[in-house]
Order: sequence, then C-alpha cells, then structure tokens
Amino acid sequence: MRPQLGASRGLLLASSVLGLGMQGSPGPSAPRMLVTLVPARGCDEAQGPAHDREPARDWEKGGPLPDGSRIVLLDLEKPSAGAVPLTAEWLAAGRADLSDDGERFLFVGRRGPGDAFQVYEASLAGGEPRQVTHRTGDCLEAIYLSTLFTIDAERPEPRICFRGVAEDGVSSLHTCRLDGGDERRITFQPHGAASPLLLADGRLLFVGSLSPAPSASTGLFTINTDGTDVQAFAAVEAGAFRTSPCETPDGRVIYVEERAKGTAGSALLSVSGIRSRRSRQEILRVSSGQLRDPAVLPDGSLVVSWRPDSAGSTFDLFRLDASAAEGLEKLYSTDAWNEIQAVPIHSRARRPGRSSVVDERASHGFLYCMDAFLWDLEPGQRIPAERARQVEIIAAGSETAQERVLGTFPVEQDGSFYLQVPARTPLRLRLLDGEGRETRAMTSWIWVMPKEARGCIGCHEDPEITPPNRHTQALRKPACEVKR
Amino acid sequence: MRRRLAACLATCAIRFAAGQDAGSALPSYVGSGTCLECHALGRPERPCSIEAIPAHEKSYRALAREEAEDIAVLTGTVDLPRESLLCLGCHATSTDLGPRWTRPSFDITAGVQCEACHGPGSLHAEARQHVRDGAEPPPPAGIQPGDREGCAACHRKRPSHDEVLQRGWRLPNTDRRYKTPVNLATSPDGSRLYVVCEHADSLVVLDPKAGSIVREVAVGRRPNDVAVSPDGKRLFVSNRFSRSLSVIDAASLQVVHEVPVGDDPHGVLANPSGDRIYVLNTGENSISVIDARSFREVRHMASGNGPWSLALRPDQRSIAVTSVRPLVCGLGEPHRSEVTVVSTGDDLVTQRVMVADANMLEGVTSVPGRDVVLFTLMRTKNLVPITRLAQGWVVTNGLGVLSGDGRLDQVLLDEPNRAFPDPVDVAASPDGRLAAVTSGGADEVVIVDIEALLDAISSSTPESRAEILPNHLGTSSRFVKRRIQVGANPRGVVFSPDGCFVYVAEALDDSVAVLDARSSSLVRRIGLGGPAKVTALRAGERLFHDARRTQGRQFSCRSCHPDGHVDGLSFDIEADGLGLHPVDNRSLRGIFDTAPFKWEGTNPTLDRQCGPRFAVFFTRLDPFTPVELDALVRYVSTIERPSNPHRAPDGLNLQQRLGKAVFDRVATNTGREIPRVKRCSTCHDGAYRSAASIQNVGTTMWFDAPLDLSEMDLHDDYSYGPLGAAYFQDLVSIDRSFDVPHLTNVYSSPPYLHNGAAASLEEIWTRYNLYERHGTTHDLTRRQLNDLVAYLMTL
Repeated sequence: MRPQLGASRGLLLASSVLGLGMQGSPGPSAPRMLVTLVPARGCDEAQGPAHDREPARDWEKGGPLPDGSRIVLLDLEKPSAGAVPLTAEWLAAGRADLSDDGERFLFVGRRGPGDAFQVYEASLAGGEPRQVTHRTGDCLEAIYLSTLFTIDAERPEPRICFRGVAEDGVSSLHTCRLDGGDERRITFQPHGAASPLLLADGRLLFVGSLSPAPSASTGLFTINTDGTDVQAFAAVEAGAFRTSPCETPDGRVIYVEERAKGTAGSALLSVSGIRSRRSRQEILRVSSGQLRDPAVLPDGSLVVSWRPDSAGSTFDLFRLDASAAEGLEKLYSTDAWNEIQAVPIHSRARRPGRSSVVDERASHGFLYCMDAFLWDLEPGQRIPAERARQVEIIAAGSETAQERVLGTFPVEQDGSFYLQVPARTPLRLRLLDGEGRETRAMTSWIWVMPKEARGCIGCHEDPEITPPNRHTQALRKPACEVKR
Repeated sequence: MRRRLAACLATCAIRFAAGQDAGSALPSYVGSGTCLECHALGRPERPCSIEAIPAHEKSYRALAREEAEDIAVLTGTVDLPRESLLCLGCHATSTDLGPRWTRPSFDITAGVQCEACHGPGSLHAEARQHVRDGAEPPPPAGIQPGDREGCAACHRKRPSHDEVLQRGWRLPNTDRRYKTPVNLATSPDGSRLYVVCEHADSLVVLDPKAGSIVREVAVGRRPNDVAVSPDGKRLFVSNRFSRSLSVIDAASLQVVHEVPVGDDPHGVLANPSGDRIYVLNTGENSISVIDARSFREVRHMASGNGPWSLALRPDQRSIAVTSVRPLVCGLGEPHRSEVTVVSTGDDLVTQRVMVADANMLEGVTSVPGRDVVLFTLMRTKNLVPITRLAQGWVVTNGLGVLSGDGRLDQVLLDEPNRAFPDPVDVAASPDGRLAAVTSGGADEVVIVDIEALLDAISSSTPESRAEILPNHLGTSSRFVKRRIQVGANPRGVVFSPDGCFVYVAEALDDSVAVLDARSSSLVRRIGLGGPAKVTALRAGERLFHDARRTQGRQFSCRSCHPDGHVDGLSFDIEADGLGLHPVDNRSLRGIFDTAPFKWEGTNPTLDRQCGPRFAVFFTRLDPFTPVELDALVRYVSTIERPSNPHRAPDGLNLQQRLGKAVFDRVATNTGREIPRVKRCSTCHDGAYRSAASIQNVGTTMWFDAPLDLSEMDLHDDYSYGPLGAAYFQDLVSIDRSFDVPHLTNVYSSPPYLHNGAAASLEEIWTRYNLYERHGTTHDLTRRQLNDLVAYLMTL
C-alpha cells in the first residue's frame, strides 16, 4: 500500500468552532496514531486471501470486521515509514483503544476463521498480545475504563468495557477486569448498545439503538460504569443516527449525525459535556459521503474518517481544516483500505473510578418517582392527578422484543410512586388514569441494576431541573414489588 | 446495706419532692485528706480497703507532660490540658462541678481522689463530725457506693492516648505554622489588604500593589472576620474561640482593645457613621451591637440559626445577616433559613426573611447602585433519598437575591453535571456590575454579570421565580461570565475599592489570589508566609474541603459540616432503605475518642467511617487511598471543639448543679428506686458522657425499623402520624439500638435523637419519652426539667 499524506496545514476550523483553547499553538503536530485498516475489497492481494464471513459492509454498522482488517501504527512525521502493521498475524483485528499512560492498547480480533472476536491487550513496545476475554460470542469493541470499587472488594480494580453480541445479534456493553474475570453486563437496551466512550468525569457514553430495525435511529446515552443511572445524553430524536462519539480535552463531545430525512450528508456535531441538551453546535457538514470516527489530536485539532459517495471510494483520514475543500485536509489515504478509528498516541489524565452500590447477587432494584404529574413537554403544564392514578410497568422481551406488562401500581396523591423492580431488565412506564386509559407513555427504555435505587423527579422532567426537597407519600410505604 | 440504700433513696426523694433546697444542702468536694481522716488504713472507723493507687495520685500532674498537649490536639481540645474539662474529667476530681463546689481542704492537684468515685463528700464529712461530737445521728449524706463498674467511665480505650503514648504521634511544628486565610477586607483607599488568618490567630496586613506583607498582627484565638471603620482608622477582628473582638489601630497596627462578645463570633461590621460595631455570635444565635467608643454592648438581638456574615444594605439604613443553619423544623418538613434584617438607626430587627429550602447562607454583599443584596446558599435535599449524585439530587448551590422591596429570589450557580460546591462568600464590584463568588469545594471563583442575573429574574414569571429558577441547573449560563480556577479552598472574597481587582483568600494554600476584574483572569498570588510543605494533616484538611472527590462535585465533607460541626439536618441515606431511617447529622468536633461511629454504631473507627462505605454510599467515586484516608482521619481527629460558654470558670451555678443532681439521681421524686438502665448517668457516663456503646433506649419510631410494613396503613395519621398510637416502636414489635451519643457541647447541635426528631433538649423528654423507655423522667417537675437542661448545656 502506498500512503498519500496530505500537508499538515491550518487549524482554524477546529480551534474556532470547538473552542479548544489552542490559540497560540505553533501549528498542528502530526502525531503517531493507531489506525484500523479495513480492506476495501474482500481480500488484500498483498496479504493473501481473506476469509470474509460477513457481508462486506456490515462492519460499517458496527458488525464484525472483515477478514484482513488490521491495526497499523502511523507516524505522520515519518511518512516514508508508512503504516506499520501491529496485528499482521490476526485474521481480523481492529478498533483499538489506548491506555491512559499511552503505552498499551486494547483491540478486538480473531486469529482463525472459526474463532469469535475476543478482546486483546498489547504493548506499543511490542511483545505478544494478551487475550483478555474468552467468550463464545463476538466482542466487537473494547475500551479501557477506570476503576470500580464495591463494598466487598479489597481495593478498586481497573476494568475494561467491551461490546458483546448475544445469540440474537443484539449488542450490549459489558465490563470485566483486565484479566477478563468478573464480567458484568451493564446495558440492557433491547435493541443494542455500541461505541462506548469513557468521559473525563468517569461516566460512560454509548450509542443506543432505539428500535430493532437495522435502519433504526440511534441516540447517545450515559451510564455509570457499574451500569447505573442510564440517561439520554443528548435529546433522543426519531430519524437521527448518532454515532462515533469522542471527547475533547475541554469537555465537549463530538459525534457524527446523519438523518433519515431532510438534511443530506453527514455532519460532525459537538455538545458540551456539561449541558449536553442545550449546547449543540455543528462543526462540519459534508454534502456527500459519510463521516465517522472523529478523534482529537494532541494539538486540539480533529481527525476524522470520510468516504465520499463516489464509486469505489474508501474511508480516508482527514484533518479538519476550514481552508480546505469540504473543510477537510487529507492526512492519509490508500486505495485498497478504509482507514478508520484513528487513535492518536498520547497519555491522558486518569479518569475517576466509581464506587458502586450494585450488588451482583441481588435480583432487584428500586424505581422512585417524586412527582409523576411533572411533565416538561407542555411548558407550565402538569398532568392532572385524576389522569395519573396508576403506573404500568412494561418489560421488553428478551428475544422477540415483545413487550410484557409486569403490573399496574398506584400513584400516590402527591404524584409519587416507589417500586421494587426486577434488575437488569429493560423497562418502560405508562401513566394511566383511573380507568386504565393511557395518559402518557415512555418510548425509551430504562433499567436498574441490582440494589440500585433509581430516582426520577417526574415522568418526563426537564433534565436540567433538580428535585424539590420534599418527603413524598410513596416513601411512607414499603416499595410495591414488581415481579418479573 | 439495704437499709442504708433505702434511707439514701428516701433522702433524695424528699429533696427532689421539695423542689430542692438551697445550694448549701448540696455536697461539695472536700478532698481525700478529709476522707482519710476516718478511712485511712489503720484508722478505727471503717478503714478503706483500697490502697492508694499511685497513678491516680499522679494523674493531674500528667497533664503537664508534653505529650498531654498532643493528646489534647487529638481530642479537639482548645484549652490547655490542665484547663480542659475533658482532660480533667478523668485526670482530676471535682471538675464535674467546678471550683465553686470545693472546700478549702480540697486540692485538685492530688489527682483522682476518693470523691472521684464516691461523689462530693462534704455533707457526709459534716455528718460524721456530728457523730463524733455526740450529737444526734444526721441523715445519711449520699455517698455513692463507688463500685468498680464506675472505673470503666475513664478506663476505656482512648485512641488519642494510644496514638501519642504508644505510637509516638506528635503534632508537627509545620502544622502550627499554617496561616489559613479565611476572610479579608481592604482599607478605604485600597492601599492595604487585611487578611484574617484563622490558624495563625493573626491578621496579616498586605500591600496588594506590591504583593508584600506589611505586618502580621496577633489577635485572639481562631479569628474569623475583619471589618474596617469607615474612616479606615480602626480594624475589628472577631475571634471565635476567645469570644472577643480585637480592635486594632490601623496606623500603628497595634491591638488597642479586646472586647468580650458572645459565643463563637463570626461576622463583624462597622456602621456607616462608625459609632456602632455589629458582631454575630454564631454559637448563641444572636447579634451584639457594640458602642465603638466605650466598646460596651448596647444591644443584643436574636438572629437566625448560626448567624454567619453581614452586609450593609445599599440604603445604608439596615444590615442583612445570613444564617448558616436552618431554623429547626419538624421531622420530614422542608427546612428554611433566616436572613435577619437589622435597622442601623435604632438597632432593631425589622424583618426576618425566610429563605425556603435553603441552608448554609454564608457570604453576603450589597450591590452598589441597586437596592439588592446577594448571599450565598445551598439547597440541601435532606428529605430526598441520596440515590443519585447527579442532577442536583443531593445538594444544589447558588445565590439568594434579596431586593429592597422584600422580594426574595434564588438562583443556582451549578451547571448540569458540574456543581459549584460550597459557595462561601460573595462580593460585588463598586460599580455594581459584577459579583465574585467563591466555591470552597471546587477551588473556583465565578464572575457574575449582575445585570444579566437581575434580568434573568425579572424576565421570569412569578411561577418560574418560585419553582424553576431556584431549581434549574441551566440558568447560570445566562449570568455567569467566567469560572476561574484558584488555589485550595477559596473562602473570603473582596473587590478592590477601584473595582480593578478581586482578592480571594485561598485558605488551604496560605495565599491570596489577585484576579483582574475586567479580564476575569488570575494576575498573581500573594503568599502569606505559611509553610510550603503540605503535611498529612493539611492534606487531610484539603480532602475534607474538596468536593471533587464526589461524583459531579456534588459536595464535600464540609458541605454538611461547616466549621467541622453540623448543618442541623437529618438525612435519608440510601443504604438503609428509601424513606426509612432518617439520621441526624452529627458534629465532628473532638470525636476521635467517641467510637463507635454512625448512629447504628457499626463503625468502630474513623478509618472505617470514612472508608469504603463512605465511597460506596456517598461519594460514589474512588475511595480514598490508604494515605489519603490516614490524612483525612488525622484531620477529622483534630477538629476543634470550642470551650463551652454555658459553663462559668468557677463551675456550675445552682440551677446547673441541681440539674446535675437530676442527671445523677437514682430515685424518683416519690422515692422509688430508678432501675440502673433508666438512669441518665448509666449510659451517659465518663468525661464524654457516653458509654461508648450501642444501647436500646426506646426512641425507635416506626420509620426507623426494618419491619414488614406492607400490611399497615401508614397514611393513617392517628396511628402513624407524629406521636400517633404506633409512632413508637413499642407498639409494633422490633426495636433498634443506637450509639449512645457523647454529650460534649450538646447545647450546640440541635435537633436531637438519632433521627433529629427532637427540636430541643426538652423535647427529648416532653415529646419523645412517652413510655419512659429513654430514662425515668415522667415524675420530673417543670423546674427539675429546666434544671436538667441547664446542666446538659454545660457539658
């Protein structure tokens, strides 16, 4: 393969739009980075025949990487060195994540045609990669987490997060220790979760599918690394596809958005990690083709993979540059490969770990709502008490995605309710009047982890509103038990 | 023996039934010399079978040893060991009553004497004298049997003593040299910056332009605030532990007067004409008005709970006073705090502004050119179970905005996913355009655009001002211009008179940050001469004040424990079930020797208390590392407990002495013997007045117990409402035990009981002892109860 390295010029777009505080920077640096190469065709002549077992483009939607995929080390300051393969002996490997100290990386890969994708850890200094997971199903992404501490642990333990695929094809996020032990599933969205990203404040951001359809909209959600406190990160919208999140040093989250209708093309958007619902900014929109996998370079500029719509084109690496065509300056390109998921190599501050109330031995958690009459979709309006007498708990099915009603429970006069619900179960709630007619219903799914007490202010409150200091009626009773 | 006890009980009963006689009928300490006149070995009359214990004789002298001061540090004692009631409680005899209740024959230096176990013996000695003189035998004089169980009151595990005597801990000299600047003020011309240094007991005078120290002036113990007279000639510094006001001549920088004021004074302010000084007596909820010429108190007014800081309102005719603790309210009710408005003309309280759902009202400033006062506040969600550390579920932080027309608004300075923890002070620029607010928990200063702030308020509907603004995390984006990182634990903040600079006291960096007001950027830091080294103790103090160790920066240890004390609230902690088991916040002052910890008493050490469970159920981030935990525990161990203002230097007054008799009584007013487990002194014994154990004292209420409540109609107020038929656990089934709290400085930490149900000490018996399971008290007269409370206030 013959790399085409673009000239390193201009940071104007990234620094001005993102506000990354890079004023005064002497200019863009050209760092080393790990890049996943995916063969543009079914095989790579240079590397011999590949063993594709998936449709050629399934990997673009998060599916397994096609055979021949590999991780390479690019040093843009030494373009003549080209791309140094790091996983040449793997049948397929990719999707690297770098450790905080910048010395090790995780990746997913498989060595032979019959193998499932597993998580491996390798050193940038070389040596034999170490297998972390030993699962029967595929592990398709993996990232380093910080530490997790539980009351019965001796000390906080470093963990990783990976995306595992169940037999029904639905992805979910799991965590485990660096030795692969103590695996815990942390997402339970019925239609899958992907693209985990550990934020600077220690929360985990991920992409969740909103329906089982292959073309389903995707939204961004956060959870703690023990699976608690799942929340929508940015407003969930039907018809919007949000993927590939990354975080900038100043705490903004950048992601790719495409829409089923209306605006064409692909856009890079940014939201503040502090005010994710009210700080959306468009960084770049390409009129054709597809963007993916933005990443922040050490100098604060952005690198992204872009593939134009033209026939035979592949994903290439670009740096955002307002002065360049389409706002993109080409960094690296080959004809035979898609260059995706660039991971600049540098150390970063350790993200805070979590101490967890989750008790894996328990089978239930709690849902506590302070005021079900609170509703933010109609400003200033509250649901009349007579229209919210009961709350119905619905669980998603496990394989067929068929919903099941787990029960109907009273809402107290002050709008509060308190339920003991099955843990690790996707749930949604419907508010009913006294006759059992629906007043409002959740469209997304939530869950509680074992022993988690999940509190909500209202049934659809403004996420920036805080709870009033009130002792509610529901807490004068034991929790109503919702059976599985 | 039985007859003697019966006679003794009868005497007690008669005395109490008669409503007590004069103090002369109460025994005083006579000293072991008098006892041994009859009881020495070899004497014919009832020789004592116990030989003198040398350690007891030396115990008082041991307090002069160097190690005693280090032990005192670990017990939070602020007095010298030989003057500390806590130390003397076990190292000497008679200090439970004080010098007033000793006879000339008594010598405190003799250490632990006969009467330490047997009680004051003057009546007994006088009675024996009657017998010797051949007179009629007088009634028995109440000498206590003094069994060996009483030894345990002092002879118990003392971590403070173990640390010093066995492990050799000494307070490093470095720790004695920290400054800890907490508040500051400028001279009228801006050429001087006066910085109160709490730890150094000093006022450091700076030349802010040169960035240099002019002089350091020694003031009283633990100074807190400084005010400058309008003409700039006098400086007034409040001293918390000295209970005084240091008056300093600004020209010579000499202390020219030391004025006694009330308990634990914090805020201080001179009026515009300079003839009055206002001092906030935080420990006794009052405001002293001092005549600036005679330095005598001319007015004393009741304030809110824990008056903290004060500011002259823009009209110059009144003063706004903040309160750090909310007013005591009923269990399960939302709290509210008071801003007290005092007119400067006649020195009267003209308004008590109630700030709903807010506590920790600390810094306050008026806005020049606008009829507005700003003050910092927290909105602690103590009634909401601590389930999530996000979206302001535990506490939110912001500003109160009090307009001249009495209108009160609250806004938050937090952002979604990033709190502004522990807002402690606020200052407004001279042109009234900007305000600076310090976050002690995040080492931040925010610069507020006051015009934008007032616009955000005025453009909101009345409903929004009442419900949305005080609770919305996004509003701050409308008026916060800049968030600036500063040094460790910023507290006091003030603008320079020309408005160009903002000075910030970086308490745990021993420095003052100078910010450029226009660019909102850090210009320089002025060191105050403290040690550069960060000792373990200092590191622990920083951890204590650092909210960044909590998910979302929601709170620090200090958020609930200002000055190491309490915020006056009960909390619903998640670990024991939502809605159940509310627990009263407990003071951290001088607690090292008061194990077990937690109301359930399940934590035997502070390491355990601040360790893994604290991380899992409170901070939700990484637990403290072993080194950090050691440092934090060391700091918590040294949090100081102010000496008790209710106890006079000469000891208990008559009412307090009578109250002690009630506390110690063994029989009811009718002469019925009180079972041992129903006596106050059984559980509340020793120097700390705590058995240091877990006891079932019958104060469990239905929401405290792990019961199956599913069949009960808990909305039935007749049964389950306050003091309803099933309110107490007696009528249900199970009961729970709680750690017996120590009673040192119990006066300062209402509400009471494990769940904070009792608003006052009186209520412990008048409302929450319905079945006499918390001691035999139903026979107490009103006067006796008042006496008892008067005594408890002295502990």
